[in-house]
Amino acid sequence: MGQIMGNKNGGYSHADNGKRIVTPNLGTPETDDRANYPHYAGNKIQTTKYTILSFLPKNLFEQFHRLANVYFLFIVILNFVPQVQAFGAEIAMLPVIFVLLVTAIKDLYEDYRRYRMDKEVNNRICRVFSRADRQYKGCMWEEVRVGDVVHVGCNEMIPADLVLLKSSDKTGVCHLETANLDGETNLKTRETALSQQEAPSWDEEGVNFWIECGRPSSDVYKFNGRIKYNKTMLPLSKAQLLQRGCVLRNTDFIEGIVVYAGPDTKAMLNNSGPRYKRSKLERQMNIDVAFCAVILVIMCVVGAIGNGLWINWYPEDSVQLFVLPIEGQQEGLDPALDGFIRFWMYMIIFQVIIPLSLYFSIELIKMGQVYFIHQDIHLYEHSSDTSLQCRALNITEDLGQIQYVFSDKTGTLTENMMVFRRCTVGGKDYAHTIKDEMKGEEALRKSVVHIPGQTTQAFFMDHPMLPEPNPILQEGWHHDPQDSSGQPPIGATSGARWDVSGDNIAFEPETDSTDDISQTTPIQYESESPDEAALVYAAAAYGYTLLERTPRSVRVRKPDQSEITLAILNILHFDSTRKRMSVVVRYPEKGEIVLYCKGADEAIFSQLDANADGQQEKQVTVEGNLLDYSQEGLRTLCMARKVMTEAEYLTWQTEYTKAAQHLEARDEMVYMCACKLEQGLTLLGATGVEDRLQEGVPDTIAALRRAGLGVWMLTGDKQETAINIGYSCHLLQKGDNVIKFNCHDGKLIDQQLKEICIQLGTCGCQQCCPQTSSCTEKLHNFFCRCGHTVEASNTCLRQQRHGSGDAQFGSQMYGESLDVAKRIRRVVPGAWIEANEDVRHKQPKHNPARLTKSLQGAALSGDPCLVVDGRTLGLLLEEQRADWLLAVARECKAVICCRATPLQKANMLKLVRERLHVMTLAVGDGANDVSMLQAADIGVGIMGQEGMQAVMASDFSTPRFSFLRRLLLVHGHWCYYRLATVVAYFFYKNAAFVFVLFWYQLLNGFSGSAPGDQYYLLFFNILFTSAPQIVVGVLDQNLPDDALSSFPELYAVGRESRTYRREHFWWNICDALYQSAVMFFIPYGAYADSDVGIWEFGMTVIGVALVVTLAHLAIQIKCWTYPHVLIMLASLLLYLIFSLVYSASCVTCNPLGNPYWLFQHTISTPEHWLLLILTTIIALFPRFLVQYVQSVLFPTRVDRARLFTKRPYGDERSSTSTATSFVIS
Amino acid sequence: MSAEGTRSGDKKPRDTAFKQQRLPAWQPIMTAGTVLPAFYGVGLLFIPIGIGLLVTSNNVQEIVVDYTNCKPAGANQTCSEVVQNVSSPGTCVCQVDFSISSDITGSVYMYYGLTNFFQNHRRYVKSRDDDQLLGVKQSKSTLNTDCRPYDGETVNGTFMPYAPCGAIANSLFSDTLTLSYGSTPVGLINTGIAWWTDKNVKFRNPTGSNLQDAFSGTLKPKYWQNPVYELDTDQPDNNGYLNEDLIVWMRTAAFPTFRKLYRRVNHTDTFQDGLPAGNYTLTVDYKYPVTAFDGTKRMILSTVSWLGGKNSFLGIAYIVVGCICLIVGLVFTIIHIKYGKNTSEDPVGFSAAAFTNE
Repeated sequence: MGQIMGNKNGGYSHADNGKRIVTPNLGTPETDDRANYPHYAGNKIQTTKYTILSFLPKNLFEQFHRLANVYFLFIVILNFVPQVQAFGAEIAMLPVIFVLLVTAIKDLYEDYRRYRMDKEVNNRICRVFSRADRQYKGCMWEEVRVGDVVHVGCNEMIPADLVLLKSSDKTGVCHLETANLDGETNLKTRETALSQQEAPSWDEEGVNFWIECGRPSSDVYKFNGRIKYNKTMLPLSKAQLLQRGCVLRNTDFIEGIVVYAGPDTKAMLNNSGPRYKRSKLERQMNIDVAFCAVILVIMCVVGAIGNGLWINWYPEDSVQLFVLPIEGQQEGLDPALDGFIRFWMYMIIFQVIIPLSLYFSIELIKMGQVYFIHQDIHLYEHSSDTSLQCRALNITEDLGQIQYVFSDKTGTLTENMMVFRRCTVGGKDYAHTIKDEMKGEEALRKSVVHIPGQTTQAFFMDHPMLPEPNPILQEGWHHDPQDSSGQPPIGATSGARWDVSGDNIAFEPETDSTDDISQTTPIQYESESPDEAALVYAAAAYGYTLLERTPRSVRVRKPDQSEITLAILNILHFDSTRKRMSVVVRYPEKGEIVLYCKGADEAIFSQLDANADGQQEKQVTVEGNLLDYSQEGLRTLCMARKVMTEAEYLTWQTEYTKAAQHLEARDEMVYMCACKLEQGLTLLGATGVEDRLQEGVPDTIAALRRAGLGVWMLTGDKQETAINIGYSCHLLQKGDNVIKFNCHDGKLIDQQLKEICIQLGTCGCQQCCPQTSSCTEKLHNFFCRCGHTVEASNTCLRQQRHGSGDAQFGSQMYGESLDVAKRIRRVVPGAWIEANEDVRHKQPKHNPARLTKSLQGAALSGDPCLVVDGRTLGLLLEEQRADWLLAVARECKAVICCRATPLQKANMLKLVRERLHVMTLAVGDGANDVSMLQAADIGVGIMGQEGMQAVMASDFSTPRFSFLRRLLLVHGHWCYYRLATVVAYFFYKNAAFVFVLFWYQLLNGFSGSAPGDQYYLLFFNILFTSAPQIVVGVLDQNLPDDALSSFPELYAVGRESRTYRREHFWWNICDALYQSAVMFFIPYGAYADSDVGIWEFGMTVIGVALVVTLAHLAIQIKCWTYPHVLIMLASLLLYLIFSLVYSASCVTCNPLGNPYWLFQHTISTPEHWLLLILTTIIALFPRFLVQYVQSVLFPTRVDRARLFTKRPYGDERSSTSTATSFVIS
Repeated sequence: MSAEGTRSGDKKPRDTAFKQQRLPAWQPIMTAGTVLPAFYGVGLLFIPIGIGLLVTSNNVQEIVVDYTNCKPAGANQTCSEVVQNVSSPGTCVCQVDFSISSDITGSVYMYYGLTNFFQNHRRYVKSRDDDQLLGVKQSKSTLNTDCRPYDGETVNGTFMPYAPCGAIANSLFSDTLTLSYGSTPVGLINTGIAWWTDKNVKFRNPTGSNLQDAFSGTLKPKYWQNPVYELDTDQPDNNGYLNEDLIVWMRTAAFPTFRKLYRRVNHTDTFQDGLPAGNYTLTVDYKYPVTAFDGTKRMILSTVSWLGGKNSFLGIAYIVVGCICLIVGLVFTIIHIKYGKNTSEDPVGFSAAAFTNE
């Protein structure tokens, strides 16, 4: 005890070696133990960026991180220097202040939202034990510290990462819903760290213990530690850890000690915080802004030099008539000095070429776009009353530029609802009837609803298995008595054996006593794995009802209403290497010990007793069935059994116990033991369970594919399940070349990777064959080794992926030896030959008939699809293999990563995003997708029942996966098109205006004169010409939504960034140069050698510039609606009214321009109007002509689509039929 | 259903044409059918306008007399050489004879034109004080600093601002031009040549018992020979800041080559219908130096059309643009007729094949 006390007092030295030692905080307030852990984070979380005090400096600091803002600030300051002052210093500040202010308000509002959310979470109440009061006391989450003993009731959320000490359950377990953390809705069990009998009561003075655990880590599935209590040292694993954010279910209460709090918890560590996302277009735009700066400097330099030269050239005596000496320099002019000063003045005058209003307008445009996305009725789901939400306001146009989509599986593509569909028993295939399926689905739906209050009666065990007793063998197939579909009882006489292996099943009896359950009361089951639940439901539908499941036994009611209780001796848990799980049970009557095993087909087949009678034939039939099932997209499971003698079992049992207790190599040894037992099995049959896809998923995926997007699936689920779903959602298709890549050995993986590269013909890439020249040679050698000679062509074997050569290649290979097939890992559809080189793993046997058949099928195949599992992925993501992986993945039509951890998902995505420089979109629904969502350029969260974590971390949240189609293909396309058009226009507009000013310098001795009034110069962009482009940016449509939706190919416009590229920028600058020349020199020509004043001329030029820029926008508009018209008119009207009022209002208040009655005078002259018309036509003529020529002679897809969709208005019937046929083709 | 319908309809977006972005729309598509008529339309519209403008401009009669280097009778030095020194100008009167070959009918205006004179230079343009011109008396502190160095002088320890201050006023055009038809002097009116608003709103004399008193405490600008209140002693309402020659000069020109309205011909007696053909003499009281900056001075007599002075640029530009539009329209019509069938309005062009090709 003294030692323990010592430890407690020595709690300060816990941080050694990254370990943390936690002792319970049970002290009185006077000796507050809670101060023990000052350097462990408290439970308070803070996701806000600012505090009240830091807001102003920090926000300004961040805003000035935008180079443009710094620039404008610099210009404003420059304007305060008298010598270079170009505008009224105060007036020049207005636009910048305006922009900064609006942005600051926006940031403030966003941060306030985060603050409110944090506050809500931090102020949640939980109960912490206080020894002083000898009871639990309410306490806010943020006050919880490491070492606190916390009490959590049923359906309450775990406030921090706890080690479970006590549970209300007498067996010392509790049930946990981890949906908020990893997105899985099923319940997980956790066990107390101490056995229930030893459970301490906290109010005893002497009770003390300590826990040692590792430093905080983001790995949700990993926790290591030990607890020392009453001189015994017990190991801790994730089975004892309750993670923050999880919800306690089906357990009255638990007590636990906090080991990680607040930011150290796994939930928060996995939530790596929002990344400031800057859209691709904006990144591109920023570079162009830099180009603008270069142009600006060039103009300033030209202006400055020109000024110096002019001063030199102009007779010195007279120059002082105009070029008044600079202040402080009474006599004489130094051209160099004057030029230098002029340089800075030009910088002020030409400042608008770097468009200040650009950033601001773009934010407004995006707000408008977001508004319309929110309002889209097609993105609204009625049943849940939710619609698509944009959480990130600044990346709408990225939706139109996505190149890769990374999707989670469960809950994203599927509804996570399993329905039993088919099974094969004793070589006969049984298709399930529709009615049963409905019933099962309905029951399943209910099963996911947790019923509070009944939780104590819940029996929820980790990995139980329900085997059906032998009598079924005699009785044959039991047809569901409720089935009245008229289908004859299938297999009734066949002696089929129906064997349900349900594991992970919990069920909730409706009444307190299970004995009272009547036949009519449906039992609701809960399961970690939904497909196992489906099996149990199916079994119940056939009369075999699971009544009770305890850790040691399982009670089943048979169709004849008799009940049987089986003792569970062992459970051999599922692991991804074995890909099967087993249970050993003892039958009550004869004491027979039977091992039931279920798992993936190849995992079972490899373990069958090859010598048994009829085994081979059975296997062939089942394999055939399985092929059918998987082609239907069903999740398949094989069942097998093995009868053991008592002695056999006991021998194994001893070995197993020893293995289980082994400290270092426990996993290895348990694995070996399990493999040893799972041998010589007898095949029972197989089942096919459907994981319901969400509505419209295959269509959506097909559409995304047509749009040219790479669709990858990253899931934490099993490989087989993932592949099945891949098929059913058309991610994989019949005839696809599915390459399963499972290799857990770092040494072998390189070789395998290389071989896959060669297979795919990616050997042209540097990564695969650094010595490119030798790539074919290598391949040649490879085949020579295998006893083949292959025509090694210089062109890589890329084309071999397609066509008949492929099949020949494969079958030849097979004909030679299975070994070759194994090595080359030629993977053919339907029969996936594993690339699994795991040394511990027995190689799967291959059925020659099947293989041959499949190889013939390969003739039709082509597109390779890669399936990688988590451990392999872990190896592949290592730096030296990353490029290889990408090289392979790029060649693949689809990539599926299964058993991937949240961070692996994120890393995979990051790898693709950063190495391939592509735009990525991630879709997910669970908290396990959070990292991925944040790593992606766009994260889309599915609003499901899986908690809000994913949604909170996402940029867009949608109730349905299928909304992606409209979101990307329609809104993404529009947003990109609109913004790209507007950005290009922006650059043009600002440049054109500045170039006009520049041309004038040629005629005024490069003195920096501007013909316009300073208000016009400063506000031309912000006031008069910004509103129309905002409306265009929000509302214009290059194509109607139905066209975009039904022709996904049009998405390529954004995906390939066709609307706005670097050359578009330069073309616009050139156009601006031309148009500005027209805008300036045509009026100059008309006014040359006349009595026109500088301000009159300026007024005309500004008017011309306004009309030209608006007309320029007008010919860009693809879809005129009344807002377009209104805003154009409003813009002109605003200019007119402003000018009239401004010109009439003030006689002397604006000394420079002195515009009194200027506008009225100017518009009263016919030249003004004649010039307006003429200049507009000349300025826009080339662009108009180019647009016309391009759309007529070199039409883009969009142009064609516009023509095509225009038809319906004229000729409704014929066009719809064309449209249909088009869609089909 | 209905209960659920109301509940779940809460957040349902409203199905309006605006919110669903399905407003009735006009989608202009550039096809031969829409664009070619536009070309023809512009062409057919512009050519007549251009012809009209050209005719109008040609109807404007204009006589330009460059008198930069005119010589006083009998002298061997041109006036420009005499007045070269701006600060101490000599006096020089010279005459230029010119003839008008055909009658100039209608109202005739007299302009003076300068070249290479950068009235639009930035510092020059700024160098004025509008408040001063509005009659507000200015001290050193209130005077616009842009007037420097032509802001004033310190006399006997007190600062006396120039009236008016600044470079523009300082460089006021100071030649006096008179015209005679044979021996008959042509009546020239020096009012009604400035903007009405300038004369009546923007320019005001400071208050005082008389004009000279009103300008007390000010100095004449450096290069001026007379103070501002002696600009037109004959007409009190054309004197001081209200002098229209000053007002016209203060409205700075847009380009280094410019003209400014100087006088209106008084169409009475002999000149009722304009200026008859014959020999005229321009008499110049030559004060204004321009040769120093390689400038020239011109006297221009011109009638005025609704379009202003003589300038055929607009008319020609309209005609050229109209012609180009017609030609382009024609070219594309030919292209359309020859090749149009399979390019423009063929829905098959937008087909699966088209997609795969790209």
